Amino acid sequence: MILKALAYIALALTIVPPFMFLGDSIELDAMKNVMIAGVFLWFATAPLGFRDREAS
Amino acid sequence: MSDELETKHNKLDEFEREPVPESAQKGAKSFWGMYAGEHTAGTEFMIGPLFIAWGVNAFDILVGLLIGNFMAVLSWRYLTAKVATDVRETLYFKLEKICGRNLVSIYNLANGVAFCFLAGAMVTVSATAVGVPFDNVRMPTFSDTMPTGVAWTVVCLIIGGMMTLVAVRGYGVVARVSHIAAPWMFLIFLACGVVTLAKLGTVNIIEILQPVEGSEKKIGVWGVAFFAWFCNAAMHFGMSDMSVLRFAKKPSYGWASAAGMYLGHYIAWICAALLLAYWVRERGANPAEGVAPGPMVYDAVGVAGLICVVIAGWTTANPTIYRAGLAFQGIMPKMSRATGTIIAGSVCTIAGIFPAFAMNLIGFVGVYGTILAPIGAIIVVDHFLSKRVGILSNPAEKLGLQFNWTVLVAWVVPVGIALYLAQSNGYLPHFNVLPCWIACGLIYLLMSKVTSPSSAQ
Repeated sequence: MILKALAYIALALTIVPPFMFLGDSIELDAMKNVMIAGVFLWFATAPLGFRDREAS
Repeated sequence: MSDELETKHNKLDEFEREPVPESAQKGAKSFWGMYAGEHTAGTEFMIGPLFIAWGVNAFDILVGLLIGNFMAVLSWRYLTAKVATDVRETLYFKLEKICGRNLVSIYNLANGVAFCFLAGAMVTVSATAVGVPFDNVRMPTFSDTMPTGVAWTVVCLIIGGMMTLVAVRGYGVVARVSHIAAPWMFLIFLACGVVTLAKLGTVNIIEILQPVEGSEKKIGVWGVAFFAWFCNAAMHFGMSDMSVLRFAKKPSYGWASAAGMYLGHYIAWICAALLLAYWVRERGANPAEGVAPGPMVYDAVGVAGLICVVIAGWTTANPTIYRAGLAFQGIMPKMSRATGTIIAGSVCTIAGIFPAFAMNLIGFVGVYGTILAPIGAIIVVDHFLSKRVGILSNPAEKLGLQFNWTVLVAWVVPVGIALYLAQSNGYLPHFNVLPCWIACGLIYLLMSKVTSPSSAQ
């Protein structure tokens, strides 16, 4: 459950910063750094968090 | 080959020579997920920008893709899914019953070679991302057909070698990574589009997608529509997705292809197209030359984008190399699957060094569809029309044929003529798919009627 929640947060870290950049709320470099964090968090949590999805 | 790999392969190819039983059939959810993931791949980073290079305007892209993708979904739903759920057999097994084992080997060879070049294009795409940190790697442009230098060649050799190694030893791992990465990869595509809009200071996509002055318009709305319809022609018209959809409980699961078409072949293509539109407008890039995907994605979303390009290329290339290896192994059954995969991986790696395949992906995909899709018309005639018109269904099985010449003539004649016409007249080969498919089905029907008029069963 926690891993699944973290995986969803990872997806949010991937897509929310670009929209914030579009809305002038974040700098480009900061957006890119947050997105890298999203990559690591996603691949660290999704394989276990979405094990049921894989099984299907 | 190790027992582990053999077991994995057997799991992947369950019910290869028998109809899928009811107990093994799957629900709709898995098909929606599979199609969404499979069509958000490394190739999408090439195709979107190629539309810009070919001078299409906003109407052509937005409406052409809408129409073409809808036609593709209908093809999956009413042809592939219908036949697949009626017979519940793989394409290869069904073909063997119609064409005979030896002719299926020729089809396997054509399929395997096409898979190798497609995987080669993915090696090229991945190399444009891996090469970004290295100054001495010169990135190819749309006009490059030959390797751009020693450093480029080395990067492609390393990537192709690694992909081949993984395809030989660890198909399961790649399938897992692909499945897990799919939602994240789609969001990276979306992020690229959003960041590009931000950099251009407008959200008016229609204005951004207008061709810049001086671009040569090579295709219009119907060119885009036909491309979207037939870029996966081998899978729907060509029936290769029977292998997947035979597990569907109902033919209506064919609608799941809409997830791949509208997420991958609509939103992802448009986002990828926006990347080049930005480079043309703000960085002065020549639209006809284009910019390699790696640098464009890195510029938009940074290292996350580079990782996405590599994973998208890898997860597309790996199963493709594996399938090509199986196709080669099908031709020479005494050869191990590992050897077949190494041969396929080697051809793919060499192809990847030459940017010609990736940079002409639209043309290559059209040729691929023209060659492989018409064979699906034979299956459609056999399945829907054989009883009505009084020709033998599954003739090779019933007559004990190893090589059905009727199928070969019906397949090769229209394809040969179409490829010659496309080459000599310079039009795009994806316009060939529909007429070739119809011609192939008609020739097969007429020849079968003439050669076996009284043998209907």
